[in-house]
Amino acid sequence: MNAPAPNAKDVNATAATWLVRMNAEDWSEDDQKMFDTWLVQSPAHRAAYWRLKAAYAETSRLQALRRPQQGRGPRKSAMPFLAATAATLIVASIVAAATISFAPQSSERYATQVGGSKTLALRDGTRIELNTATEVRVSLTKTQRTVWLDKGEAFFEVAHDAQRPFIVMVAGHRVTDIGTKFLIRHDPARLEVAVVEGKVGFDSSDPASRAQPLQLAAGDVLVATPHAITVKAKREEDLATELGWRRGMLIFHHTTLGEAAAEFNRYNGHQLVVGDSASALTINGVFPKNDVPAFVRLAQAVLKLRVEDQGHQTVISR
Amino acid sequence: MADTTSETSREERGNALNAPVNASEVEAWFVREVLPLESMLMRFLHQNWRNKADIEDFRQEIYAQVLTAAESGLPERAKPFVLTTARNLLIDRVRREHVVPIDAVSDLDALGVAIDEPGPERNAIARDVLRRLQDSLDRLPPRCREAFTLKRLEGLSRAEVAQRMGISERMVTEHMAQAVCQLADMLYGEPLDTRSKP
Repeated sequence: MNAPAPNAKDVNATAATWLVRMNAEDWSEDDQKMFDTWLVQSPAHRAAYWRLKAAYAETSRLQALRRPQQGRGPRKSAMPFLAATAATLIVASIVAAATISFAPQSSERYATQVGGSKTLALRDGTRIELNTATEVRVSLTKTQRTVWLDKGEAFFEVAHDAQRPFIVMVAGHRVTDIGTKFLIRHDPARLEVAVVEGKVGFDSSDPASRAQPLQLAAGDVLVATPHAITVKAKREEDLATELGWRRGMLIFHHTTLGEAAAEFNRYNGHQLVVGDSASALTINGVFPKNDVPAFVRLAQAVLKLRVEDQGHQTVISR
Repeated sequence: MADTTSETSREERGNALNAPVNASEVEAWFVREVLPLESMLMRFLHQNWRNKADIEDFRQEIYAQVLTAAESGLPERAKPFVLTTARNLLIDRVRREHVVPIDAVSDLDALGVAIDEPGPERNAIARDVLRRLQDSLDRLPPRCREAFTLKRLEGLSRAEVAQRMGISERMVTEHMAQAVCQLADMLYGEPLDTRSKP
């Protein structure tokens, strides 16, 4: 999503070269000007330069006890890598789970456009709220209720019916409702299931990971990628943040500018592009999901960023 | 729009002065307060991030964020500020990665603990800086060490160093630059207790 910040090694090497050249005999006024320009360009430049300059200054102490060069080769670095010991909990692995889409003919299809939303009230009393750019198919029979979430994000409030299980098929996985409210977000490489109330069963339909179905309780958030499925507990307010779109709002809490822009881009045709240096800034705030201008104004006025409207997109940078 | 926005959690900075701080003050603060925390910061990053290739970039990003904040008001206490910045960076990265490293996710709450953990005392670092400098110099690649020693410690000109070593002046600059980078890593980044000589 976001390009990484400029490579630290390169910045460091540039800073070191400036430092060394500055301490040589042929440092000119023009060099100084170029260096000054480089230094004000970015806090990363200043950090790298000041750090090396401080280390370089420290080495003057060595002049005091100058000694003849030693013929010793370099010792092996004693840098210990403190291995993290946290237990790894990979519940199951999905190997490129093929989307299972053998929907019966009787299914009905519902979709929203980018920026759209729609609430489906099913005959059984279940409500499904579709978020932006979402597609579902719904099939209700006497013995089973099935929804295929083909893409996008949906919030489910399921009417309990012990005789007719409610199943959501998504990216080859099966989410079984046990009387509950839950959210499923289906992005191309990532699936998220967040349980707001009640319980939900999760069954990966990849044959290689037939281990056992998981049961998720309120507050649990499951994230499935092509490589792993992880489950963690989220606080209520964090879940509320994710559900802000149901009220037409995007809620950011310690969210990076890059992530916030990506959220806006899910809802709006006019895309935001955030430059490397600005994307790591952290923001808090609540915005109407289609109010890109408000967000841009804020970036400009509060964060003092440069904003350039290029017609189909707006570029935000330092 | 509702709510307010703020850059890098201002509340973490204690009662910061809100006037812009001039560059030399920021630099002095950075060298005096932040660099001595580097070995602790590196340990923190190594403990909480599996992909070691990211760590140097993280350090840079953390320093850049710390400086950006300090330029509009020096934080009252450097350590909690640096570690909070580090923690937020890891959290952001965890959120952004498509493949979530479960160990990082499950430990995020535990990261809060580390912020209050006592760090190395600055004067303890200063006390043996000379020994560690010497040790670091000894561990440089031979050509880097030679160039650095001749230029910085013997005071030869770059042309003289080049002649003495039989290399171009440009190579002298390169060796010197590499030496400075490695010395800084050893001086600031390495855990204190492994710097002692065998």
